[in-house]
Amino acid sequence: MIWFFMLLWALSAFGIGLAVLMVIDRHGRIRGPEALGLSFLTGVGLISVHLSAAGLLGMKFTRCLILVPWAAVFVISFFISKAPLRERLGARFTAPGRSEIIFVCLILFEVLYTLWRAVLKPMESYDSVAIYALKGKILYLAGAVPGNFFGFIANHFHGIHPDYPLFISMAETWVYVFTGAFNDFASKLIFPLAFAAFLAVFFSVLRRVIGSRRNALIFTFMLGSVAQFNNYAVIGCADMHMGIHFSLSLLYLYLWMREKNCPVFIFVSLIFGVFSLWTKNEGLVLADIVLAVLLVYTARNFRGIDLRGAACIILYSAVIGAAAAAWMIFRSGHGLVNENLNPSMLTAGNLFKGLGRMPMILYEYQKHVFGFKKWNIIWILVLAAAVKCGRSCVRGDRLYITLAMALFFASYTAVYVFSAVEIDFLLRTTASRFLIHILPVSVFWVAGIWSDSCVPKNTAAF
Amino acid sequence: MDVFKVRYAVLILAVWLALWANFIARDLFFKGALRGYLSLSVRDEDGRRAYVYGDIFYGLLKYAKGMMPEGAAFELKGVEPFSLEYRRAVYYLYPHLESDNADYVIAFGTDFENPRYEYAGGLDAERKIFRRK
Repeated sequence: MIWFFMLLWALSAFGIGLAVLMVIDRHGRIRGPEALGLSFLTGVGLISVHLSAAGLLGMKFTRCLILVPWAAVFVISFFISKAPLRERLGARFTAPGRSEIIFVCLILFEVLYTLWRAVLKPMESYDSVAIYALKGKILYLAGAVPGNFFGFIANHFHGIHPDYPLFISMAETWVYVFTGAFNDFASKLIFPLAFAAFLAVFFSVLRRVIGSRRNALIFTFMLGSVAQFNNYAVIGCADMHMGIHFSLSLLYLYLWMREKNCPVFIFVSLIFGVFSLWTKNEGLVLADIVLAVLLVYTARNFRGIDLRGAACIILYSAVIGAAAAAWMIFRSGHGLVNENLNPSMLTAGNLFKGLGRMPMILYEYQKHVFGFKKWNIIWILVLAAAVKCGRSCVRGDRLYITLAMALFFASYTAVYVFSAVEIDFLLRTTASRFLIHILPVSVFWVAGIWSDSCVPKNTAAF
Repeated sequence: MDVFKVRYAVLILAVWLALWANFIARDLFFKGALRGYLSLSVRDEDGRRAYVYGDIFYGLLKYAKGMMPEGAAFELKGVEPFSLEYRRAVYYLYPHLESDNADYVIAFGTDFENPRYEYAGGLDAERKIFRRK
């Protein structure tokens, strides 16, 4: 019975995301697997944000709280949308070649294998039972966000990190509210479904950019087969979602910058930018990185940006800024402080002391570069591409992705430099998870360079 | 752009696939993951949680959860603080809260003696529950 409810849960999340997609993309620019995947990811995210906002405003968690308003949006979206649903969700494709069929099968294997591993076990990994799933259980059993929630969890649960955003916990709480029972086998389904949905979107975005369906399939398989990435679709932690939200925020912004006259892309980027902020504390840094990319784009194309483009840029910056400010004010108001990095650690003394840690930090990165079991050879490919590509890494549109990657590594390294936490412990427990955040963007970056040299030039625009 | 030539691309892909297949096969067949997954597949949800938490430890947690009245606080003895087992126990036993001044002491593989507590039940010599007098 629970799995029947989970099917309804997945359909409701998909329906909510689809409704929003139909409103922001009236003409159906986003179709097929991209629309399917994006709808699910958007739906899960919107429900989590909605439930969080309603909970923090003191409302009780009920099915109606979420389903009624979004059902209204769903109905309205059919009147607003100009593209028929069948056309939007249907896929038109030419007959695949033999290599394409092989890679589709490999991707399907990876997805099914991940799904199987996920639902076999309850929530059991360390961060899951210490942080995300525990908060989800507490919130569900409370039926709301209790007035003293953050103080309560800080006092009663060591290591629960009350300052962490509630995206994953709220998504799990919604599963329990929707199904009417606490079942942490069922809530595990969030993760492999998000993994599958993301691979569909990643493939579609990559195909838009590099043109070649075969190469897009190859790189989608490469991303999905990175053990560290698909393992995080199994264990119930937030890092895969962090990587998904950051990469979709950046990649859709990139699509908007390329295609200039398609505001749909910047709206999708904005939605996932807000989700980034609500997924993990690192989301604040990652959303800032995307904003920095937008700033550089604006500076480079200042004269070429029309009124509509300018409005999009202002709206984007304002919404991300407002969402970030709201969360920071909320955190500060509740006395929530991050243990790994907080403003009190950003001192000249910590900088000088922290610079001495650079050899250890670089050694840790090196371990991952050659950590084939977790990462296959993706970081070797990234380094090889960077070395061989040279200055062309920062030419044309590629600059934006390169810039985002450079800012990512600089800012995450700065965390290790400034943090007052014992560096051995911090590196050992965080580096392999942090790299998941940049993995999809890195694969996308390598795919662009690969395709520049391996497919006819007229289809390799990136 | 002369970065990845086609022949290198094929070589890279071959290396990728070889490593991917090697690590999956090693985990599944040589490290026993497949046996574990198959064993989990035939169990019900309670059995699967027992498999993951460890049958013996989960038996004690389940027994304790069934014994403690609503609102009772517990203390774990014999489980290393902040270890994975400890985290799983705290998660599983919620809404019971852990406390230093607990109503119940859950002793796992350790001797527990305290005049303020009395024996309340147990599964065997290694798994006992004590209640505050």
